Amino acid sequence: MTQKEGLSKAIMQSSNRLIEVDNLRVQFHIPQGIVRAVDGVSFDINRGQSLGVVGESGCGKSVTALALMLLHPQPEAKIATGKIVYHRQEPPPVEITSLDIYGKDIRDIRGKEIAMIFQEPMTSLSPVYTIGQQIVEAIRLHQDLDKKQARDLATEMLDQVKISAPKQRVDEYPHQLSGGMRQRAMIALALSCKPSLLIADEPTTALDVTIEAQILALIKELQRKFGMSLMIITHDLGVVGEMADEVIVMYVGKIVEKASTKELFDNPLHPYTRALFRSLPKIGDRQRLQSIPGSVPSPYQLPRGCSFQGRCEEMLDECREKAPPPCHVDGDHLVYCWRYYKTAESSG
Amino acid sequence: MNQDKQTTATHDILTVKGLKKYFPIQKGFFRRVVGNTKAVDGVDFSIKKGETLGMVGESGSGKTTIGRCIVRLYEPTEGSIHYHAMDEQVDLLELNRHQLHKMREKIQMLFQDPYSSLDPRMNIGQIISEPLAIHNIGTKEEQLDRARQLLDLVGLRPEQLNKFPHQFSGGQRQRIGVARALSLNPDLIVCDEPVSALDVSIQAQVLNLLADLQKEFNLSYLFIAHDLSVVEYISDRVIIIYLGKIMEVAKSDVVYAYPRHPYTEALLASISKYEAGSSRRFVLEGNIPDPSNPPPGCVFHTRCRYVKDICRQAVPPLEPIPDQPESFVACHRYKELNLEGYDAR
Repeated sequence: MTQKEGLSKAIMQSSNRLIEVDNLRVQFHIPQGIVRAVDGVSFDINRGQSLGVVGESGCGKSVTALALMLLHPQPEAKIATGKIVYHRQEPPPVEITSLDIYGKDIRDIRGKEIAMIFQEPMTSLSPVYTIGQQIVEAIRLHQDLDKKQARDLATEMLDQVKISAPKQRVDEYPHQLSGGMRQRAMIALALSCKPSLLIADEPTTALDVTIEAQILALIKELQRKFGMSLMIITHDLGVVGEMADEVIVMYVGKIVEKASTKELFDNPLHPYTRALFRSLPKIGDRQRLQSIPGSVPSPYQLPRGCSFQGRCEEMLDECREKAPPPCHVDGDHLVYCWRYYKTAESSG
Repeated sequence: MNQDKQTTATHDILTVKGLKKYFPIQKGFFRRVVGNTKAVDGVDFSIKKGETLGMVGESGSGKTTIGRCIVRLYEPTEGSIHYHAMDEQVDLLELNRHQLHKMREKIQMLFQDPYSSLDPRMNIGQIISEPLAIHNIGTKEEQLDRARQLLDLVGLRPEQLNKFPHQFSGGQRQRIGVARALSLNPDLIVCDEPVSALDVSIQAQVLNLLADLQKEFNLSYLFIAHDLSVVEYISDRVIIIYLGKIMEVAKSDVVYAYPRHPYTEALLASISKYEAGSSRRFVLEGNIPDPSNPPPGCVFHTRCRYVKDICRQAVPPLEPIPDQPESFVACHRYKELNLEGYDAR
């Protein structure tokens, strides 16, 4: 990227920003102690952009997403510090973190401006209401439409997500639909109020590969059609490669690396990211897999310093002592690792 | 371990012929049978000694049912499953309870979910030595010794014998499941999605462990999974299954490069590439049909890109592919089609 391009990109970004998250910390106060589920996470999402969040179970990726809508589990989880700013089309921007979690302001944002789809559509749709009733409820909560209009819109949404025979399906219950259909119905529900951000939390993990391909293609298409931003949370690097423009990699509550998808896939820097790529079985290559030794540390006894230390192959003395500072490599590529910090320092 | 096992040449250890499993659909006050869910509908295959046979298909294709029929957790509706011991062979479906009990030493199962397949009230020592206790092998002390030895084998510390399942992470629990499956020195382990509940970094550890144990004990695996890249990595041969029927059987390196069945091609096209900005070549439309009412003719014809009239009328037989040893395909048009394999690059 030339300097000029970089500059114009930076200007574009600042006006295009949709969500700004700054130093977010979410802590769970439970009898066993305090768990720092999200520990100082900062990122931005621009309009129309797709952000991928990758990490293993327990790394805090879902809690981060829930916190954006103040849906972090109550009463045990608290946003300890940090700021989440949501830029509406018209100013002023809303500081989400300062809102009452049960208040009207956040309820106007939830489901309307920021919507979410979950991993298991069977458990996140109500089994006792029809698909149509659930979509109509969401529509009438946020839009000034009568029952008939809302129902028509619900049917249209089902058509948009390519559910066949939407006029019949609108009166069916979730158990009458297959897994892929249910996920489509969830997407219809989430998009019924034309949100500016869709958060997809492992949207295809419970689905077969062939259905996964269908759903991902659908999300991409609708994202383009509605011009919304997407935050896709997954443990699957393949899904991220397909869907995201920018990726953050998380490990025990912290961001370890952030880069554009292309940069991350071409040039992964953090030892954890690199190890993740190495541990994937690749078709046509039957060499022994290089697994990451050990397992994720217990959230109650996090090590001092870098949380990846016990499993890292390139550990330095600093890694045991202090958490690694952010280190910018190649402009937009951010990595939290002492090894890069040291090289950057020594080369000036 | 039995020494002469290592020296015998590769032979079939298990032969499945004409296996069918129908689940009756009951309705009304008298629970009248109104139809059958044809979960497995006429499947033939064999597993060789020391081999990993992968079995891939979407959910509802019947792959788990086949695994469960082999360990006789389900009673098959029809067919035979022959187990070849040293020089005799037994039909597992004709054994009485006592004989089956003895046979179970030889065929073990590893389950998908390491959270629900271990009894939370038993400690690890009890869990691993339970099969030994059931089969009355050794004294209590010897059983625990064996459990310690097995823990060491699967990469856990033997002193952890007195801990309970909840004290372990998912990957460690799956190791415990492996140790339990190994406790009776089985010949065959039916692995039902053993790594799909695990995180990527842990998945590699368990796959490597399974590969090491296979080498050490000359084990055979029936490896059931939906993740094609995992199956390709671990399997020698792969069976592609759809709606209770085998679509294709082939060596795993061959099937990924040169699929012969349109369903295999579609599965390969849906594998994500681990590349930025990649997209899948084409997307298979629709869902797997209802197994209680499978389509006539080729079961895949409703979703096939290459469908012709004959596919709607006649069921294609599973035929050996000429010039390709150990390969079979069930497609009317496989000779004329030029299908695209997975482009590894």
